Amino acid sequence: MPHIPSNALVLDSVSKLYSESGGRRLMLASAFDLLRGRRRPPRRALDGVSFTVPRGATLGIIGANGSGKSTLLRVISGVTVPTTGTVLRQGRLVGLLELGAGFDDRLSTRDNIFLNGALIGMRRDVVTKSMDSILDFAELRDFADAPMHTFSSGMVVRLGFAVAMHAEADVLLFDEVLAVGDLAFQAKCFRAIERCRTEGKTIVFVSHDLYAVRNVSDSVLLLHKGRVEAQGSPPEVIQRYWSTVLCEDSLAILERGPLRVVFENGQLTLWHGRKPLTKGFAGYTSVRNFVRWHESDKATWSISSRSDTRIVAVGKYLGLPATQEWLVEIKPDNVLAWEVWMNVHQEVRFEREQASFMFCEAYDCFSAAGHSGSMGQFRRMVSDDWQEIYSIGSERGPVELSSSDPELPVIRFASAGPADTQLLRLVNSDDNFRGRLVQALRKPGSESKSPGRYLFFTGTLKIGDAT
Amino acid sequence: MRARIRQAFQWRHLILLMTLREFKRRYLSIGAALAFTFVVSVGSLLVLSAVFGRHFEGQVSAPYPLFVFCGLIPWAFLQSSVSQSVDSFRANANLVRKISFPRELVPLSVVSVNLVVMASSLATLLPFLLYYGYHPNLAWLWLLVAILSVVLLGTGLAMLLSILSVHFIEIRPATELGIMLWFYATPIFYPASIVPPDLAWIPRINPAARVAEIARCALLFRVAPPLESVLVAVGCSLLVFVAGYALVLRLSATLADHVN
Repeated sequence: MPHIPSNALVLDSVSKLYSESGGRRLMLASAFDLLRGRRRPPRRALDGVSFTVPRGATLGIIGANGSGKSTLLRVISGVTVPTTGTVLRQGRLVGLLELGAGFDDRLSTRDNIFLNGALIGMRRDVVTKSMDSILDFAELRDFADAPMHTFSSGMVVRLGFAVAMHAEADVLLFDEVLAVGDLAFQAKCFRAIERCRTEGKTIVFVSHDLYAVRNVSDSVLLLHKGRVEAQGSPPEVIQRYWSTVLCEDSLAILERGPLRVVFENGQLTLWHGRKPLTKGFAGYTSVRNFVRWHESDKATWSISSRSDTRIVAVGKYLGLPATQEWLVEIKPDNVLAWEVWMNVHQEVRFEREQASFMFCEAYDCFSAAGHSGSMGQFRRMVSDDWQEIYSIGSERGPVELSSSDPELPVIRFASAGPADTQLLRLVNSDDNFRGRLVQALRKPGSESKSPGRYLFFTGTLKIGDAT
Repeated sequence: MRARIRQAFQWRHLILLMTLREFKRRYLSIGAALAFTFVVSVGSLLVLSAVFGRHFEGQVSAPYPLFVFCGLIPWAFLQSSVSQSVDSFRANANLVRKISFPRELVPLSVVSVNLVVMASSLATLLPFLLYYGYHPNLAWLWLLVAILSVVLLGTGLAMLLSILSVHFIEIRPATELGIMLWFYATPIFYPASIVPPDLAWIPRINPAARVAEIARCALLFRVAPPLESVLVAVGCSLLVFVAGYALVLRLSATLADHVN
């Protein structure tokens, strides 16, 4: 019996260095550098990457921008070679590093199919045989003889995918190509990929669409700064991605005891053990300037200091002359302290100012200042106002939300400032969000803000029933 | 390298398609390309004859237009192959950076376009030759040697310069200047006999001059060219071809990292 290799791809300690002086240079300048012994240090795009892909398996590659995903695919596809290490390929490999690469504007669709097919190594008779099928797949049968420069970018992308799907490849590589095209075509791409999987083809793809990665891949590879950070089952590696890789500029995870708080660009998501407490907007602030609401998650945030339990983050609003600064800290006994400062750079009016948490809909009971009741049903509304259930002055807080679900701890929301100017509110969102909100909002008055810094909100959220 | 040339041969279908694409890029259609070539070659012939014809008429042993034409056809191939392929990798950066295929096909397709153009120019020359009474004989076969040398030379230079141009900025302007100098250093519109004795070594070591000489011997004098000419022409061309191909093969693995 002939020996059939069981791996479609074997990468052994693959590294790729890019010299900083790459690209075109003056020969004179290069000679000068050489004479003076000056060499710029190379940038390491891949660093000792080893893995194997069994025949018929689907591997998803994820990682932040600049982690080396595209370089890895280029090395696998043979567009470039690794600086050190080896890549072994079994079977015919077709790489789609960019849909539409290799098409020429001046050629007709038919000529382009021949050219592109030949470029990815299809025999002429195979192209001839599959011509109709390619045109049908790309939905371009009526444009077979039209020159490509008349095409929309979507049409080019469809054609690129259609040709690759007919290439009779054993191994297919995709670089972020599933994100292009309209929804109908994306669905078609996924069906085609599904068919490739059932036909036993090996697929390696790079994507930022974690949902697709989770559902399409047999295993996932996480790259971080050119190294393999993790490889394994999709849920595991995606979890790892969230907790390690994205933790960079606008994302932080605070943990203490069972409480986990994820800060992601102006939004605080709360977890108790494995149970998510918040939903939708989660913890956020919003201000209204004239007719427009500015939510904190629409600002651009960067974290200026961080530890395991405390972060300081600054968010820059788009279209408002102001920045917001958050101090978020998990204190002992499951208390989340949240302090929000507003820096105003130019005189501005804020008609409304509020700090809110949206919790999941199972929190259907509230109590506040000795009063308790049910949050009730969500209103199906024509207007977009959300329904206020109860409100009190902030000095009479806290307000409390509880659920009949024993896994959902009681939540107490209290404001500590700015004193005497705030209301605490319990609000039901509309029927789309289906969230229960606790809010601290400024009472009417003092809309006009002069340049300077003022306390927007400070308060705590206590999770669980301490007495 | 032999394996690689065989591989390039296996991709001949792709070379054909890329050549076709180059044609359409440049001239929209092959018919237009041939008509265009005809007009340009006859035009430049008329210009050269008008400017230098009277001056050199008595010094060449053939009608001056035919004398020029025989030298001009291989030269035009050489010149346009080289000048058009200098930037070919950069012009095809989107292919090179995204698709894995034998890189040498990029300059090769430019050379192929010019090969077709040269063939059509030769076809244009034929009626002129017959008109002036230069009927074919066996010596015409030497033309094949001239074509072989100039094709090797053009391909080699195209590969050499196109791959170097990816790395160095000076290559393109240097090529333009070099081609101009080379044109005047090659006896195309003037006979080699007017070169002063102290400079006579230049056309002797110049493969382009040797190619012109072989072509004229074959078509106009209808005798076998001197052995020295054949050796210099074929030898130099082969050397340049091997050097160019070897350099492309050596640098093609990382070409995608540099081209932009």
